[in-house]
Amino acid sequence: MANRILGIEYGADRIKVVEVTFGRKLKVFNFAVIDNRNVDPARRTEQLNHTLQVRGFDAKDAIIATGGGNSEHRLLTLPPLSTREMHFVMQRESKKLAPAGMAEMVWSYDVLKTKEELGIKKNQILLVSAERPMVDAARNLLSQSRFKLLQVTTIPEAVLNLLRHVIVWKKDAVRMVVHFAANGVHVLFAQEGALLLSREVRFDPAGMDPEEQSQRLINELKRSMLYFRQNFPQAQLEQINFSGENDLLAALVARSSEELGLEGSILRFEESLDTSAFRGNWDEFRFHLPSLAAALGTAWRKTPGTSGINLLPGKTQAKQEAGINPTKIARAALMVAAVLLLVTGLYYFRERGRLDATRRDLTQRAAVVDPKLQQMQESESKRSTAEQRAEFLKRIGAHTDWTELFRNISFIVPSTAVFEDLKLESADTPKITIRGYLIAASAVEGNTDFNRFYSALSALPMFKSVSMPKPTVVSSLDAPPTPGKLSAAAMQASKVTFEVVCELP
Amino acid sequence: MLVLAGGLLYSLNSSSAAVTRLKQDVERKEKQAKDVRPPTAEEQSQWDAQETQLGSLLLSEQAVPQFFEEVTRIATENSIQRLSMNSEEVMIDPSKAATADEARVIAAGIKHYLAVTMKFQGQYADVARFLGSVAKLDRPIQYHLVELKRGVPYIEALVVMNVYKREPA
Repeated sequence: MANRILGIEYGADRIKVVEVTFGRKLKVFNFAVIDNRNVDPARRTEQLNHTLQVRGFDAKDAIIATGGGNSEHRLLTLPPLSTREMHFVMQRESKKLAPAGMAEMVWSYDVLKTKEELGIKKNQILLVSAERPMVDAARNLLSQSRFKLLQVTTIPEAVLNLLRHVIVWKKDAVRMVVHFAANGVHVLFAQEGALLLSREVRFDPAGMDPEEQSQRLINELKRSMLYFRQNFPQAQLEQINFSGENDLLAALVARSSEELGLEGSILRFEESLDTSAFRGNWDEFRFHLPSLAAALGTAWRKTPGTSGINLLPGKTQAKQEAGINPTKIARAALMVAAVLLLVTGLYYFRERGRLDATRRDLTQRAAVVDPKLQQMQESESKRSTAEQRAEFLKRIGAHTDWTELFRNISFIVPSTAVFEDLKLESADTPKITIRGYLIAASAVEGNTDFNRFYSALSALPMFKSVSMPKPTVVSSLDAPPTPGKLSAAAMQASKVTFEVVCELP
Repeated sequence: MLVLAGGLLYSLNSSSAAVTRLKQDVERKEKQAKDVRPPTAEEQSQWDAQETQLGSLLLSEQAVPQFFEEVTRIATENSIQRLSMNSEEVMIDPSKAATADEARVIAAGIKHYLAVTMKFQGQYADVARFLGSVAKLDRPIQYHLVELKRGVPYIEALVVMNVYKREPA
C-alpha cells in the first residue's frame, strides 16, 4: 500500500492541507484549511503541527505548492539533450526568465512529453524559476515539524498536475484556468497537459464591493487573454475553468461567456477522488473542495519528490541523474567493467604468481626425480636383457644329443614297424612327431607291438612327455601268400597306423 | 574489458589445470623413484660376463664360410648323399617379432641370424649321426625344423636351422 502524503497549498493567509495516497483515483483521507492571517509567521509551523495532530493526520511526507512570490513558468521545446547539456540550457533560460532585480533564484524543470516536429524528436519542457525566499518559506514551514518535505512546487504547476488527472483534453484546444489563491489569481493557459502560459495577478479585494471585484477580475482576465493571443496567435482558446477560494466564482462563470467569449465552468473533480477512507466532515470537505484544487494537485504524484517541478535545491539535477540515461548507464557499465577488470587483473597476477612459484618448485623436483627414473628404467632394461640372455645361453648350451636320441628310438622300434616320416619342430616347446604303421599277422599282434613300442618310447628319459594326438587305426589287408601255407586265414594281415608326439624338455 | 577479464580467468584456469597435472605427474614419479633398486656390483659383473660369453659364442661374419665348411665336412664323414644348402640372412625387427622364439632372441640382444636350409639323403643311422655332430659344433645353432621321410633306399631329409650371428662391428 502506498504511503500517505500531505499535499499543502501554502498561501500568505491560508494553508490548505490534504492527506492522500496515489492510485487510479486519488484516495483522500483527511483535509484541513488553516487560516493564518492573524498568526505570527514564526508560529505558523506550530499552528500547522497542532492542527494536523488534532485532526489525526498520519502522513510523514509532504509536498508544498507555494505562491505569493515571484515565479515564472515557461514552456520550452528542445531536442533531446544530455543531463549536462540540459542543466546548462536550463540555467541559461532560467536567468533569462528571472524578473529583473531577482537576487537569488531557484529553478527546476520537468520534461512533459516528447513529440516529433518535421521528423525531429523534441521534448516539451516546463521550466519554472522562483525567488529563493519563497522556497525557503516553504521549507521553514516544515522544518520544525515531523514531516519530511519531499518537494516544493508552484501553485500553477500543482493546478496543472490536477488537470492532467481529471480532465479529458481536446486535441489542440487551449483551456484557460483561473485559480484563486491568497491575494492573487493564477491564470493558466494549458494545451493537452502542457502549460503554455501562466500569469499571477495580484488582487486585493479589500474595500471593493463584489461588482467592482468582478469587473476588475474580468478586466484582468481579458488582459491575460490578450497577452496569450499575442504570444500564441494560432491557439484555439475554447474554455475557461475557475477554481480556488473566492465567493465570486459563480458570478465569473456566469459572465465569462458574455464578457470573455468563452464557455465557463467551475473545475469539478469530485468523481476522480476516492473518499472511501475519508474520516473528516464530508459536507465541510465538499464545501472546500474547489479551494483544495492546488493542494490535491500538489499531492497527486506517482513518485513524490521525483515527478513534476521540484524547487528544492539540488533535487532537479538528482531527479535527472536518477533517470535512465544511456550515457550514464554506459559510463556506469564502463566503470563496473573497469573495476571488474581491475579485480580480475589483481586476482590473475596474484594467482599467476602462485602458480609460477609452484611450477618452478615442481620443475626443480622433476629435474631431481627424472634422472633417477631414467636410471631405474635403464637398470630394469639391463636386468631384463640379462635375464633373456641367460635364458638364451642356457637354451643354446643345452645340446640335445640327436645321435643318441635316434639310436634309442631305433632300439625300441618293433621289426614290424615302418616310419613314414619323422618331424622335429622347434616351437615354444620342441617336439618330434612320428607317423608310421605296423603290420602284423593279426590285430592283436599289431596292437601288442604298438603298445610295447609306445611304452618304451614313453620310458625314454630324453622325452618330457609322449602322447598320441589321435588314436591308432587298425585295418586289415591281404598279405602276400606264404609258401607252404594255403589256408585263407593265413593269407590275411593287420595294419596299425599311428601318430606319436614326443615333447622334448 | 569483460572479454579481457574472461580471457584472463580462462588463461588462469588453464594454467592451474596444467600445474595440477604437473604436480600429479611429479608426485607419481617421486613415488616410483622411492622404489628404485640400483643393480649391485655382483649383478653388474654377472651381466658383463654373460654379454662377453654371448659375444664370443655368436657367429661372426668372417666365421660363416668356416661354419659351412664344418657342416659339409661332417656330412661327408657321415656318408650323407645329395646334400644341398641354402642360407638366408634374417634381421629381426624389434617392433615386429613374428614368433615367441624371435621375441626371446631379440630380448637377448640378438638381431641377426642365418636361416640355413639343408636337403639331403642318407641312412637312418647316418642322418642321426650327422644331426648330432652338427648340433655338437661349438656354434650357436638351433634346429628349427627337421623332417625325415621314408624313401628307398635312403631317407629324404629336410633340415632348417638357425645360426645366430654377432652384430657387425
